[in-house]
Parts: sequence; structure tokens; C-alpha cells
Amino acid sequence: MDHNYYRERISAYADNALPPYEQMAVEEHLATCAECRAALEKIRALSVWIEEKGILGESEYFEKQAQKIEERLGIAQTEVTPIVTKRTWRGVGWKLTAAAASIALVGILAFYTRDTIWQKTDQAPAMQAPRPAEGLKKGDSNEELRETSPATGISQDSAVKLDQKAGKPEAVSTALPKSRVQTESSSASKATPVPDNQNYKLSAPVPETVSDKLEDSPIDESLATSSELEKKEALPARRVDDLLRSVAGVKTKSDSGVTIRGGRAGEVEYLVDSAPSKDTIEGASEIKRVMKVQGLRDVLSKSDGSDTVTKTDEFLEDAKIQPSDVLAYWRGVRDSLAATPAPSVEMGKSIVAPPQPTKTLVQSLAPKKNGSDRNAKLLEACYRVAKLSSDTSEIHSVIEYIKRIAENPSSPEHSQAKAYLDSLGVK
Amino acid sequence: MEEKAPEPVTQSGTDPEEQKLIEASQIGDGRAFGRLIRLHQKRLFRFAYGITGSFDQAEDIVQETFVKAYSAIGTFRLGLAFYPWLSTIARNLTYNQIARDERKESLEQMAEGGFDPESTELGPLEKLLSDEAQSRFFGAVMALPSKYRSVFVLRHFEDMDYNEISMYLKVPPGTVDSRLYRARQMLVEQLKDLL
Repeated sequence: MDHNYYRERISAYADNALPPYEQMAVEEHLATCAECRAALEKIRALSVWIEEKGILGESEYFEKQAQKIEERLGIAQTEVTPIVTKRTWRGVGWKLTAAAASIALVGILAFYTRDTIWQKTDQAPAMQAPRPAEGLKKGDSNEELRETSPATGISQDSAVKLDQKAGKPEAVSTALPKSRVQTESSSASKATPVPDNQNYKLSAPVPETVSDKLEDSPIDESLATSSELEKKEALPARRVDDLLRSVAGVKTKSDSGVTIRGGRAGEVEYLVDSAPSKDTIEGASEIKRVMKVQGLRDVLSKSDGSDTVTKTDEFLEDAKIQPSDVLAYWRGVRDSLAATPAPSVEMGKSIVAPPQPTKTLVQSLAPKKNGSDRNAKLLEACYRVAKLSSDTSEIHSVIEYIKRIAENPSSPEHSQAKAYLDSLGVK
Repeated sequence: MEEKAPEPVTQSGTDPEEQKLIEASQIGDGRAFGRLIRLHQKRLFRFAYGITGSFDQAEDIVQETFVKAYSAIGTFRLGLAFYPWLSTIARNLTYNQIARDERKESLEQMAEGGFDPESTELGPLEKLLSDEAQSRFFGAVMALPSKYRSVFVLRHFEDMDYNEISMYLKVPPGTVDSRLYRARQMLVEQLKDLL
């Protein structure tokens, strides 16, 4: 065994992946070859190094990706945790029934006192134009709730702490700065002032499907009817990008931009003038091939006939055009010039028309229909196809066409058709 | 979309904590599955990125893998390691990408080894790497020709043996050996000052 035999097996030896007899042979060689021992050491060092350096560390990116996946699966985890800087407001926690009752109560009060002027307090944030209270439901933004809460002199926004383990939401009132926390009213909103010593901080971002950016809504809230607002509430998402975010392959940016990853060249078929940009079987570029055929056509159209063959051969050799390219070209010419579909093929009792050729880039590059030379070009195209094609039914159909021309003495291409038939050996 | 779960690979040394998370996920605990996502997503991402060479595609593959896993979690057999099962799903998703990449590479590139350490920028991956050495490592891996890189990734990132790689890529084990040998040669050459 020469040295290369062992050298090439060092890698597999390091992985214990050799058959037993080869493993032993390499071991014996290693005992006497310093070069191979050094190579083995390097491979083992690489493996160890990969164990250390090949691991991706923690990153905010991965946490965001995990959240994105959870959102998509509908198992998103969001918890609102109050941060109390001073004493918590007396009243402690609210139980589920108290919270539900307070929500209902505020909703009713908001509806019936919607015309009452809202009294501004020190704790109330800046007032906005009053809006109709109908249709406002739990989960509306801070602004909405403030504007429609009864004029009890209290401007309170409350947040609900969801204790997911206990399943009991707590409604704790507080005076909030403008935030993205979902608000639910509490019964405290109808009575006592709220201390300004409580703030809420989200431990995780609020799922963006619940948006408080109503100003982005196409509905003018100040003029919306309750039914319109109800319909809006029932929507699964407020904006298009909310829907997009739930789809894989969509990224959203902080400036509300949305990036949708498009198809890759290998996944999406691009059509240029109805022609695929890639040959799906061979992978070659259809466009490039057609451009070569275009060049061939230019050569042929400039030739005076006598040296056409020579020039064509030279061109084919230089451009590395395959005979199949030439056949495709002439097929394109034929199909684009044909006024009527190809003759039907009779199958049994039914006549099945052959499928119409789809217009490809080759066809689009074919000479345009010209009343003066169209028939001649069509005839030549059929002749070329008959010479190049190996498809017997195709050959049969084009020869039939040539025969029809040859048998029609009044046709200007009559003699040319006969010459073609002679060339093809058809009588 | 096919929901049938792949056959889990039999492995020993399963983590009891992970088993609890799987069990909880099977009875509908979303938070438990969220923890499973966080446990395994980095490794899955590394594999998907190594195979596809595309940050975006790797993201998609990781996301789709967990979506499929979640829908089929009920069929997972407790007592087996979770990552190999996830990896099987991810590999099925990336297999087509491997075939596409290998067709794209030119023969000339393969004949010359096609190794150009400067040819592949890490792009967004750079932000996930901790130091220069790690950047050089991943840069060198991504610069490998895709035929070599896929074998390397399957061996070193997924701990697959030669037979498993051979079956997955549908190439003879000898081809796996030679490609891995070439990949390692190239990497050793590129990273010799770090090893």
C-alpha cells in the first residue's frame, strides 16, 4: 500500500469508521509515519476545537425567534408584572369575579354616562376629544378607556395581572403613563383617588396582535358607529402586518416596515416572455440558450445560402450550441407562423388534437409574420424540423404539410416544397 | 402537509428534565414546549445554517421544524432523546436544499476544491458569534463547497456516523469519507493558527 492509501484513511480512522482490517492497517502505519500521526492529531484537535467554538451562544435573537415560534403556535407567554415603588394601594388583590363585575360595571357606566364631562385630575393624562362609548370593550387602549370612563373625577387606567398558575387575574389600579398595557377598569375607578406611586412594567412585550394603535385604523373612531367598532374588535388582527407576522418568512421592523422574503431562484420559476428562465431538467439558463439561438438566426438570415452550412457549423462550434437548440429554434418558427393548429391525430374513434405549443422565448424571437415571406419561412421551418427531429409523429405532420404545398401548383412555394421533399427522400 | 411523525432515533442518556418537559407538552402545556424550543433551537439553527448557507432559510427551517414537532408531539415516544427526533424533521426539510446546492456548483469549482475563505460573508450570523475565532470557524465552514460542507455539518454538528450520512445524502460511504477528509483538510489549513 502506498502512503496515500493510509493518508486518505486518516479521517475515517479518527472517526473509527474503517472496517476492522483497515483500522488495524492504519494503526500499524501510524506507528511508523510521523506525517500521518501529525495529520491525525490535527483532525482530532479540529474536532475538539469545534466542540468549543462551534456552539452558538445565548442571544436576544434566539429569544425573539422562540417567541415568534410560540406566537405562531398560539402558546405565546406574556406576563404583566407590576413594579411597586412604594406601598401598594390598599385593596390588595381582586378576585376574578370582582374583576369581571367591575369591568361590566364600568362598561355600563361608560355607556350611560357617555355625555358626562370627564373631570380631569392631576393624575389623569392629557384629555383627548370625547368619543362615543358604544362598542368599547375590554381591552381597549388607555386612551379609549380614559375618554369614555365616567366623570367621577378619577382618571385611572388599570392593568390586569394575569396569574397564569392560579388562573386568577388581579385588577390593580394605577395611574399609568402612556403605555401599551391592556387596560381593564376596576371598581376603584368609581370611588377613591389612585395613588400615583405605582407603575407597571411589562416583563415581556405585549403580543402585537393586540394593537393600541387605533390611529392607524382606517375607521375614524370619533365617527364610528358601535357596529363598526364591534366588527373591528372581532377582527383577528388590526393591521395587515399583524397577519403577515404570523406567517413564516416575514420580518417586521421597528419602523413598522415589513420584509417579506421572496422566492429563491431555485424555488420559484421566473418566466420571461412566458419562457422559464431555467431549464427545469438540465438547469441551464433558457435565456442564455435562446440568446445563442438568436445569434444562430442572425447568422442564417445573413447568409446567402451557399455558405450557410459552413457558417452555421462554425457558429455552432463557437457558441457550443447543441443540435437540440437549433431544432427548438425551428420549432419556434414553425409554431409561431402556423395559422392553424397542427393536424389532429386520430386515436380510435375520437380525434385528439395535439396540445397547443406554449409560446416560449424561442418562439417570440421567431421572425414576425410577414405576408410576403411567411409561407416560405413556414415551409422552411417545417423542412428544418423534419430534418432535425427524431419524433416520428412530428416528422409525419410537417412532411404532410410540405406535401400539401407541393401538391398545390398554385402555391408560390410549390417548387420549393418539392425540392424539400426530394431532400428528405419523400416521394 | 404531512403530519406523520418521523421514527425517533433510539438513543441512550436522555435527560430527565427534558422528559418532563416533553411529557408536559404532550398534555398541552405550551410553556413546557416553549422551554423545549429554547433548549434546542440554537443547535437546530446551526445545522440548518450549515446546510443551507442562508440565514433566512435557516430561520424558516427552524420555525417549520418546531411547528411540525408541536403538531406531532403526541406521537413522540417518551424515554428517547428529543433532539434526534427534531433533527430528523429538520433534515427532511433541508434535504431538498442540499440537492439544489450540489447541482448549482460547477464542476470546475469542485475540481479545484472550490475553497475561497473570502467568498462567503457570514452576514447576520456575525451578530450571533462571540469572538473572532468563532467567526473564522464559521466563515471557513461556510466557504467550503456545499458537497463538503453538508458532510462536515452532518458529522460534526449532528453527530451522524458515516452510514447515516451515506443514507441521508444517498452517496456511498466511501464518498462520505473522501468528502469529509477534504473538508477537514481545508479547515485544518485555514484554522491551523487557532488549533
